[in-house]
Amino acid sequence: MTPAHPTPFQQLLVERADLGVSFLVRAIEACGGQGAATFYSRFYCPLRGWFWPYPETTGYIIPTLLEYAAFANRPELAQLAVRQADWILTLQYENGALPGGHVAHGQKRPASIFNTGQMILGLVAAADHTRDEKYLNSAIQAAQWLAGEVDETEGTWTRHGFSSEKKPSYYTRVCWPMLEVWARTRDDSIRTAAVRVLDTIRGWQLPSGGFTGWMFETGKAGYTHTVAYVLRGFLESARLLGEAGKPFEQAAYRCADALRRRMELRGRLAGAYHGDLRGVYWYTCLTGNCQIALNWMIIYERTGDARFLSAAFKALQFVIERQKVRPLDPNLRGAIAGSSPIWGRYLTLRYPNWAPKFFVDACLMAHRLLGNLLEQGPCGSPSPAVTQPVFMPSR
Amino acid sequence: MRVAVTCGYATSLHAIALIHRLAQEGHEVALCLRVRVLSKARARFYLRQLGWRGFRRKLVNRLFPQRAQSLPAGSDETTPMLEYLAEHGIASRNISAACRSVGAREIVVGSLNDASAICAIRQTGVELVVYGGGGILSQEFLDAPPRGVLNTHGGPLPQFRGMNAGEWALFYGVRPAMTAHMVVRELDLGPTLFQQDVPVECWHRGIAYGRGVCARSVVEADVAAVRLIQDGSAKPCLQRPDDGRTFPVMAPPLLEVLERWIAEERTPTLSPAEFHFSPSSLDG
Repeated sequence: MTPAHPTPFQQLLVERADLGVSFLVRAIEACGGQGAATFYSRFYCPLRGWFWPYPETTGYIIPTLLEYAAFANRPELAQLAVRQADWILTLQYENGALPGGHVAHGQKRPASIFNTGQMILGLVAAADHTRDEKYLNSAIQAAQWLAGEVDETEGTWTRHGFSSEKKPSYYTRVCWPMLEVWARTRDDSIRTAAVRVLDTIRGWQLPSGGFTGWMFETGKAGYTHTVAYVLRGFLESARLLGEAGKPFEQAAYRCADALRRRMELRGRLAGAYHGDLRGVYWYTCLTGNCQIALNWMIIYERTGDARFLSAAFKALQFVIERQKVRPLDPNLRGAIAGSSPIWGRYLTLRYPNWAPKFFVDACLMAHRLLGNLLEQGPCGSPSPAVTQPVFMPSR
Repeated sequence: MRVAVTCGYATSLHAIALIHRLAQEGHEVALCLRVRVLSKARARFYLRQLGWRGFRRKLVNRLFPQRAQSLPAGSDETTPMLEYLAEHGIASRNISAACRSVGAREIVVGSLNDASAICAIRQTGVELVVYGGGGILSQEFLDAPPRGVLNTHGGPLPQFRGMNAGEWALFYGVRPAMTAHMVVRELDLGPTLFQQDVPVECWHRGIAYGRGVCARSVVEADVAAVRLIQDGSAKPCLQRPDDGRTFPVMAPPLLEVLERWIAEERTPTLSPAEFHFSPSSLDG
């Protein structure tokens, strides 16, 4: 649904999303089409620039490529996305788990809860796109493994973690892919496990609206990247659960609204937030900006509260101004750094593949919402919109 | 009535108009509290809010308003106010000149909440302060004038509080209006005195022009409100926090959408009284 006369900002979104996709394509080509390179950095990889492929983010890049392929009418991107899903299939362990970390010299790493969840998103999107059962079967196996790994006493996963934080609240973003599988299979054991974890994490919400455990390292502030993971997990799970998901949606709204107010007062998002929402402002986590913008846009779609849309555009504009458009190094065209300034704490001196991934998602969603506004006219007091998963081609 | 006017910078056309119009209406403008433009706290606030580019633009506009005034009529925010000044025979173009011409004392302060500002209000025996800009007010400031602080908000209250209220009202399909209210600590939550419609047509010449017309109407509403307060016929109406929302500065992409709607003459149809935000789980 492209409006006849897009606004200048919509035109900018399309141009920049295209640049972002070009970076993602180069990241995949740099690994011979087998996964997307984790990041580009002449500091960490002086010779090649590209680091090894990263299955986790390759997983969630798949829905982005599929959505962009539909948006821009570029079927070759859909084929590229499906090839990434094929690569993920080759990485699956017999018990259904998927590996953590990157894959160097073809050697995969031990199973990881979080990364398995993210790859499920890619497998499900590939299954929806191709109607080929092998992807869904793989996703089911992975989700069943996740369901079986939930610690009954703790109400969350306590093994196969990535960081020093033993009970991460960003595991909500593992529940979401599990529920995507449940929505397609109605396997209640998967739903029960996911809801159990969501309930546990909801109990970790602080009076500020923030959550404990949203950081990689215990005691430190959580990057907006992981903060947004927590929110997205709740929001998407709530969508899939319907009425039963309302408490999770409420928890996400509370936190997202508190972040929005802080951003409006301060003029921009911090790079990281403590549980009490004290921000670390000397740098900004650019991928986190895109992800939080996505969350705010989802909330706008569900509530009609345009303050969230306005905040999302501001957060996104901040990233647009920092995307590499005409770099000296052609590999950096369309890239988005981990942090701004680039020596910021999140992925210092690196250009990760997931920054353009979330950037493209945010650009496409912003473009669609602006198109809807232009068509519908003054928004009045809109009724809650029918929400779709962001990765499902909606045009 | 003995009144004081606040203002945010030396060339505020809004404050200049306010000072003159109150004097023309027979009020004694005893004091004008002007906030210094180049204060460290203010610079930091605007830098955070607007970024470097926006800050530079704002600074240039404030320091060299004649640039804006040389633009063709109808092209920006200041035109309607310049027309208004001409209509009322107001020749002053800065606060000092306005104060001199009405015999008001001008005090330059770092912040309106400074002890010197509050002290000046008490010493000059000001009964009412009319807010013409200058930042968020402390309780001590609000308590200083016996009849309180009057402000006219650029949007319909209680629905649209905060920034760009006129634009937000248009965005939600509500006809723009402004509201005179007594200032309290909570933003735009004070008791309202009356509401005055702003013709929708003024926005058809663009958002900037619409804003300018609103600024002009704000002055007239302030003058009318002071008259009501003086007569003792003001009937303050309390607001409930749940009756509206506090809005931030509208993001430029939404302003683009608004411009498009205005160009397509998709005019708002609802009056402020008819509009209520549908209860969302956010308000719960």
